[in-house]
Amino acid sequence: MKLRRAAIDTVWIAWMAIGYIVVLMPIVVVFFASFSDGNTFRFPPSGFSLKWYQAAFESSEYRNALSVSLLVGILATLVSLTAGTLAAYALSRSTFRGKTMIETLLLAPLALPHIVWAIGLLQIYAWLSIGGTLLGLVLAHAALTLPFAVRIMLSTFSQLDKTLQDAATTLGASPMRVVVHIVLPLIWPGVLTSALFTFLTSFNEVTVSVLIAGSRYLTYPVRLYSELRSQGIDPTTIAISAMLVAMIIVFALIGERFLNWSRRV
Amino acid sequence: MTDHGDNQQGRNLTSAYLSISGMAKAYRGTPALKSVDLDVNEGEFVALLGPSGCGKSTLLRLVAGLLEPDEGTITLADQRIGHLPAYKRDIGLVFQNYALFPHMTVARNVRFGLDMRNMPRAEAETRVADALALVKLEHLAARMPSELSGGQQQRVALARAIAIRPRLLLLDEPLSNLDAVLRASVRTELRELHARTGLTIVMVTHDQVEAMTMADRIAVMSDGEVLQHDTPQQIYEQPASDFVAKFVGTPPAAMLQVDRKIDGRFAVGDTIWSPSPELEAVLAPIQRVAVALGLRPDHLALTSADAPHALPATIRTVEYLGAERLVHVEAGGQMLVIRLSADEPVVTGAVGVAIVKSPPVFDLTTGLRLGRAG
Repeated sequence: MKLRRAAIDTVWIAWMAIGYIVVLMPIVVVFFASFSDGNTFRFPPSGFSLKWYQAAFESSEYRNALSVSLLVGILATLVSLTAGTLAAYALSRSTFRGKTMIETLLLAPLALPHIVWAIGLLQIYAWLSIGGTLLGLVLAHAALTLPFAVRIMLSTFSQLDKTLQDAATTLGASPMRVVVHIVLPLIWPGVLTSALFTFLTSFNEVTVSVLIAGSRYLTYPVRLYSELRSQGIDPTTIAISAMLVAMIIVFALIGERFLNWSRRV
Repeated sequence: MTDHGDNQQGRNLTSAYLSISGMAKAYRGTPALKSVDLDVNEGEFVALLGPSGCGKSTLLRLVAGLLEPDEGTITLADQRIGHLPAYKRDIGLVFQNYALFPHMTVARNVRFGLDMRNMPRAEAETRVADALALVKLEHLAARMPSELSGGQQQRVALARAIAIRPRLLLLDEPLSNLDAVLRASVRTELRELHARTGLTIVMVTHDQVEAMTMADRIAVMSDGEVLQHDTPQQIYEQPASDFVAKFVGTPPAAMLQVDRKIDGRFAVGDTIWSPSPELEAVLAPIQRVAVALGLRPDHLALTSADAPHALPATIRTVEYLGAERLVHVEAGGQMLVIRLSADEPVVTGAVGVAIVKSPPVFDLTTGLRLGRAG
């Protein structure tokens, strides 16, 4: 009996290990290759150097692309988080006909193919003449990330006990003070989680950005993608990618430690 | 809302401390309260008692200002408060689930209402200490709510509501989330707290034992209406309707249908029955073909089947309760309960039930009290 359980455990662990390898191996490849001292992308890496890291910090093109990504990401997060939080609050606090349909529609961008959506968007942007502008890019990213914001905020609000607001009210708190002293402190982990997911989704987005970003607003993944198409892989991008991955892992660990991410999404 | 402007008129019209009149509220066309009037005196402990869905919680939330009435006025200490938002009413409310703020310590929870009133820190700290002392929780001031037991959380909720020195304290099912052992002790503690603070308290409960043991007066509610507002003793002994009689008391009153034959004689089921002269004097002037007697165990005694004025009956079950026994009998196809002390012998088989005390008489269709005896 005991032996059989041990055998089952071993199979589970092996299965999990295979899963992790499949998911994480490409990241490991990138990470190790970034320290190579060769002149092309190779794995396993030859030798060890930080020269691609140095090149990355010196390249103004990549710095520009990264700052575009950062700017678009932050603006899109602000727009999507504001809209998403308000939408989620309204949805969680009211019941009306068609509520389920609205909830489903808000999640639609998750399910639709981005490329189809982007082609349509291209046409609309042409009419509005905001194609290739920062505004256009931010709005597109905000729309794409809205489902994440809404989903996380919906679950955040559903965990917020309405009687807490009533209690604060009977104790003399005006509606404004209820929000400041009760609602905000209780939802901020959800807001933060939502913000980080929204930002990362925007930061990683390629399909839509490729189609609607003009030459002025090339985000980092778009730049990377076009490099790849024209000149193959530049080891500089490998170094940058490795740094990004490291940063995201740190974020994820902090998020898990303090905000229980895995239980919020 | 109807209570704008006429504050001067509203003054001194009523001597009650809290006066609710014509209060009505409907949810999407379904009435939850149908024109309720209720007066509560200063320093009184009143229980709103009724089954779930009777409108008692709606009434509590209307008084607190968490709901807006469709109609009606509320006067508190000679002031119309219907137009005041909840946060300006100075009414403390202890929620059924306590609703402690999970991100604040016990002390911060209790201080919350004082902070909202911008009270100077030193004064607020003293008040918090006093309030916590009142519920005997001084030692837990620095804890977070999640670290407390249910009973302790409830006492924090009480301290928090009391700290603001409310003009009125509302309790929403204060005992329902506690286990049976704690419930009995909290019942006494709440009574003591009421005596010590002199607060006017309105409590919502569905548990008649709670209402009977704690309240100075009880408002029995059903279907959005107050059926009777009286002292526990009056509610128990002089119920205004069959609903009140059946809702209150352990065991509740049993309804015995008594028919009146064309020749003036009385019948229970198929059995002709001659009531005692006292009971006959109560029944005779009531011009009804049939009435219901609200019979509590204390109205009844077990006798022999052939005793004068006794109802022939059969014993069904006997419940042993330690100091006493409850004997369930069937008379004329209807069930009655008789109380016997533990040392009285139980006769078996055919017995008689004597009505030894005049019971309340109710209309069979409306359920209202008829020919009020006392």
